[in-house]
Amino acid sequence: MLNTKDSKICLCLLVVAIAIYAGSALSVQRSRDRLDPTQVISALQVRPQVLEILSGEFRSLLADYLVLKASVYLGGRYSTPDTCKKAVSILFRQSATLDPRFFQTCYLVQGIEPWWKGIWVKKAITTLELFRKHRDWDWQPGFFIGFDYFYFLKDNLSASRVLMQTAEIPNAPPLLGLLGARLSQQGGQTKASIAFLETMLDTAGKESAKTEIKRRIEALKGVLKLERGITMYRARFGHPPDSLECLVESGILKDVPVNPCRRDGRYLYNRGKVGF
Amino acid sequence: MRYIWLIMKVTFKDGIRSRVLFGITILSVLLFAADVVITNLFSLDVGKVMIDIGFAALSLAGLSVIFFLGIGMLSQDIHNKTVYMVISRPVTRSQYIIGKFGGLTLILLVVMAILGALALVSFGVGSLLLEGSALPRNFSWPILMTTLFFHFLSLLVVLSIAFFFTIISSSMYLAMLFTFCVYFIGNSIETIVKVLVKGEFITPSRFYVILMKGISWFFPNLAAFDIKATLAYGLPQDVTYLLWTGVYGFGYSFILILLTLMVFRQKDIC
Repeated sequence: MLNTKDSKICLCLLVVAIAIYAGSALSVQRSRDRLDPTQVISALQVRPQVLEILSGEFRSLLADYLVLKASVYLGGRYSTPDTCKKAVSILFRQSATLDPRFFQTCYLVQGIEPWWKGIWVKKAITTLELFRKHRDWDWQPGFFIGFDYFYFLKDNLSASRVLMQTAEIPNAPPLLGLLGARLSQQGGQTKASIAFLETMLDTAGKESAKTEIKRRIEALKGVLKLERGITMYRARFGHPPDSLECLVESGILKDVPVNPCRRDGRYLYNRGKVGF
Repeated sequence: MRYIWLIMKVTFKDGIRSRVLFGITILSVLLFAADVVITNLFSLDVGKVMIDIGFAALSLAGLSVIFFLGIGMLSQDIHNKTVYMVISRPVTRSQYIIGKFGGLTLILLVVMAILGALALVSFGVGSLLLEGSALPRNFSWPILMTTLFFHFLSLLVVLSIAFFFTIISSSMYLAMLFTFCVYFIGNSIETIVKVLVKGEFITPSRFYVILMKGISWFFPNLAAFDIKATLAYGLPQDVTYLLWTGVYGFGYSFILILLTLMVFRQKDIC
């Protein structure tokens, strides 16, 4: 039995301990908040084969986890810092190697990596090639690769080669072959992009995916409208407009279309080139 | 045969009564419940994610039965000298080992059946919540049963490894460690050999490659029993491959049990 004095000491110690605990818990929480997985991302800098060896029979589950980790970070963000791009790319590559048939990874790779442009396009194609090899019943990885060659690398010949091969897969949309043939010609790229996305829209299952594709089609239609206006402007004045608003001021366009892919609704414009 | 059956029955009853088994079941039920929640985080190939989580839960439960129940029961019998009670009767050491192995195989079978049924329930609930979109491509019940069977076979191989190491080692923890090492190597040896042969990232000497190929003959290739991808993606099944893998699995277990019997006959347990 504790006497009154001992009880008081115990009570005091308990109060002090609770105060210390509460202080440290708050401090830890603040530090952890800074490490919010939706704000920063990291990837283990090891070859995917090492993960394959270490994960054993749980490799497929690890692939799910890695792609989920990348998805949590990417969320609905518009821009990604270069350091994080590297981590996301590594996560995609690792997930694709661990399970080269998982379509969720394939879809995310295509939806994210090539749009960063530059070196990331080839990295995305390398990863997507894994899916094309292993998902031999599915035309979509081949379609994605063809699109990347055409749209980002402007390599129409490679795009048409991949699309022609993909068109031979049973149940592949017949339009793939037509697109492949069209790409071997020069020009009309924006139009062909819209045709690509319309093919995707026909086969997309989920409503969220359809909404995203529709958004991009709308953006591309805006690009097409602006490109036609720029061509007319160039023909009339001998040089491209200084800004997209010049197209409206000169009476060529009634208004500048709204870009649904950016928060400010504006299209990117630089010396006659339009982007979204 | 009567004694083997008797030991099998006693082992099975002991195992079923064990609190370890109760804990494993609770953990697995939680994992299956988590399965329904986790799969909602994915939008494509959801069936594959369900299969991944379901089979991971089955693996964890099966491995826990082997490591905590199997190794635990056998080594306690030997180290607490309870085994004297059995082998002082007209029961041979071989009958004791076969009976114990049979009993634990039965427990493993029952655990797999219960957890397999739970996995199917969580799969069904998930499918309902996702309005049927969770079913994998070309899903069929025979493929599911075949995948479960090969999963069970891989656990049977690990169980025979656990028996072997429990008998030859003096400590339960050593037996667990050795078994885990063989389980780990068995799951990754195929990938290691492939990486070495391909020589994509490292260029090993010819001797090293031959050595690794030689080692792979001693360790079981547990990756061969993993046919989850066939179920998850509706891939065609090669019947010849399945037959040979079945023979390989039973053959490996049989050899290890024979080795265990030989060691146990010579072992001084007094």
